[in-house]
Amino acid sequence: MLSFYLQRKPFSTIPAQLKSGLYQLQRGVIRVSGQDTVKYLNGLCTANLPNWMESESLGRFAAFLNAQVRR
Amino acid sequence: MYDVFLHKNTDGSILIECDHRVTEDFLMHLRQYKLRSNIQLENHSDQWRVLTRWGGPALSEAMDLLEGASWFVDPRCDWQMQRAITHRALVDVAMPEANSNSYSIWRMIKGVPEGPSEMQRAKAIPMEFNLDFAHASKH
Repeated sequence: MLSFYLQRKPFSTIPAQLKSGLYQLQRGVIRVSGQDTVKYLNGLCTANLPNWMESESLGRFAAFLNAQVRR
Repeated sequence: MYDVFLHKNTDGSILIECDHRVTEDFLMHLRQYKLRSNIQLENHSDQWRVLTRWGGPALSEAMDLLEGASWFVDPRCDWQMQRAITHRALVDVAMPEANSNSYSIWRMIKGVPEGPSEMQRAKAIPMEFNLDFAHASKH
């Protein structure tokens, strides 16, 4: 199995229609505003919000854990 | 566990993009921990659209139509994927047809999990799905 992955040439096997794309994704959007936004979100998610807010990056990936996992 | 993207909004607020199937649950989860924090939480799913793009020159024409969008590199793996969030009105004019099949195939090829159907809610933990390698952790 490992040799299969090592020998694979990803872009030679990917169909042409996958080589470029522009798509609209069906996603939910929640707006968080207010004085404590960064502090509040920083306490709940896995990302370092203060660092990100100071950076030039417009977006970042993060995860929010729920209570059952935290315990 | 909810996997999300955070977007800076021009008015100083933060837009959290999550799987559309769990938006209400996630909103409830956020409200649960609000306590006395000075924040407002609103579901803006009908006002914003999330876009993703990859590839190069073939997209230049479509890109011209979406100049208002602020793109950033999707950090989850070493792909050339970019992501943006923009007002719904702009997208409805520029992209009448939405299709995310190719995006899903790319995720499968690269082994990038997304959403509650791949990461079981209330049971999954970040390390099980390599979210630390996907740059979801504190840094």
